[in-house]
Amino acid sequence: MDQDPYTILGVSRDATDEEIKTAYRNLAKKYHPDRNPDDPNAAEKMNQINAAYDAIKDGAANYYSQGNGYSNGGYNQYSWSQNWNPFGGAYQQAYQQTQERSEYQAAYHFIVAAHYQEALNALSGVPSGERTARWYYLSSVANSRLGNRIQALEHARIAVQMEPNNSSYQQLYAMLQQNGVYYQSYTTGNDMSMPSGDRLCTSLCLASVCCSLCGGGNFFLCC
Amino acid sequence: MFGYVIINQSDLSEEELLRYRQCYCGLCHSLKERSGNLSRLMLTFDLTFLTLLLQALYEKEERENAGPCIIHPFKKQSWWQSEITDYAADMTVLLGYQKLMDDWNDDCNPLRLWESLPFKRHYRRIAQRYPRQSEVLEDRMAKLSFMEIQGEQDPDKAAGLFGDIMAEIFVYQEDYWSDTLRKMGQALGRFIYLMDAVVDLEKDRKTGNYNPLKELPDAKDNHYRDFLEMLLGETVYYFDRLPIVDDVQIIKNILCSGVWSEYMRKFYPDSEESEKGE
Repeated sequence: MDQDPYTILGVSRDATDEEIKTAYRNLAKKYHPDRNPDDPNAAEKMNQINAAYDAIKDGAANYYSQGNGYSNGGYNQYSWSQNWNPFGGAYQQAYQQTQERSEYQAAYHFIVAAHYQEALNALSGVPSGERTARWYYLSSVANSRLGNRIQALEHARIAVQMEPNNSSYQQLYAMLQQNGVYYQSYTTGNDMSMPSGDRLCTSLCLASVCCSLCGGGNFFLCC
Repeated sequence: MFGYVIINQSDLSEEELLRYRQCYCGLCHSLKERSGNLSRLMLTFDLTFLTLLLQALYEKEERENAGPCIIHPFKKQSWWQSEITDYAADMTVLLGYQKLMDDWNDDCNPLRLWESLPFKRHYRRIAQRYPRQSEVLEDRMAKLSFMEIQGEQDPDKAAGLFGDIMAEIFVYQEDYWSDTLRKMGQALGRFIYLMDAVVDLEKDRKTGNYNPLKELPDAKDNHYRDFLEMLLGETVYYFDRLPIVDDVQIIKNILCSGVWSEYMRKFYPDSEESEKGE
């Protein structure tokens, strides 16, 4: 992009998220191709505006994920992306020198080679009664790269539970929990509270008379 | 499966409640106009949420209306409809019909098959108009059925199949925002599926019904909260990426508070309204 994204959107560098979105909307109303069918440059202009908006949102995400606090950018995109190296660090190299099961070695090499399903297949050869923290750690890594969020988080938790002093396991678990942490801070930041446990029925009924569906997929009037 | 993506009524202003109700009523009317009176029974809050979300993103022209309604015959209601409402109405029928067929296949209860008949031609028409969504829906429902029959205990795989369905339904049209909408739909779909599994786990253990969480720890354990928050974190991240300024408070109310209603009712039935983070 040639121009500064903030200039394209017409906002200052310390604009709030709402201001950025409002600026985008105002520009979109003006320049959207649907509203300017006779303008050959409308699509190009709209692309610029879209790209500027994304650049600012990306920039905010990067700023916050560098440890400047959890706001709109605390989101953990790394565990589901291909950019993260799970085996960075001296711990891994030291570990490799000790004797370990062939299944673990195979899984490790598969993960490094980005063959995650093969890694899981190798690990499945270990009977469940013999699975160590290392097994759960490797399984968590492979699962996270495959997008298996639940298994990844659960296995990381078990690995930490079995070996609480292992910093690699702690780091993995912390990283996988980041989305949950982001959600909590997002919720708190928006002053949202949990619904009260005993008020479900009133929250489902929009009017004082019964509404047509409470559970979805039902075919009988409820309430 | 549906019914978790709802508002927390006590946290919305009168104006916001009215706006949400008008959206819901509009969806009901679109269903009636497009797929007949009976199709209104398929109305869900989840697709009301989608209507609000997509309408806020695309800001299509709203047609306002008022009048009596079949459920509230004595009080005049007002509502709005747009192209987005019409789209959500069509998606409602796609999902509703598939649910009926799925129930028929599972239980062989002829009542389900009987109930599905009036919708068959609407389903066919809508499926033809939206091949992308209907193909994914049919494919993933079949795979989900197969998983259930096999008793396959893989919560990610099962949730992912449902996530794929919601991902496609979230994409109104292929454009700059489809990728973000797809990811948001994927995350919310996984959340819905998982929440349903968590809420039903105890019951399914007793009845022997399929539940992909059976080999994971007990439902009251905080682990489930972690999984659910993880998926909602993804959902709100992608929501935040969308340049939406309208109805934001209602959407946030749903994603940050309302979605927990059934969970709170089931596991913390005596709780007072509490701040998140405890």
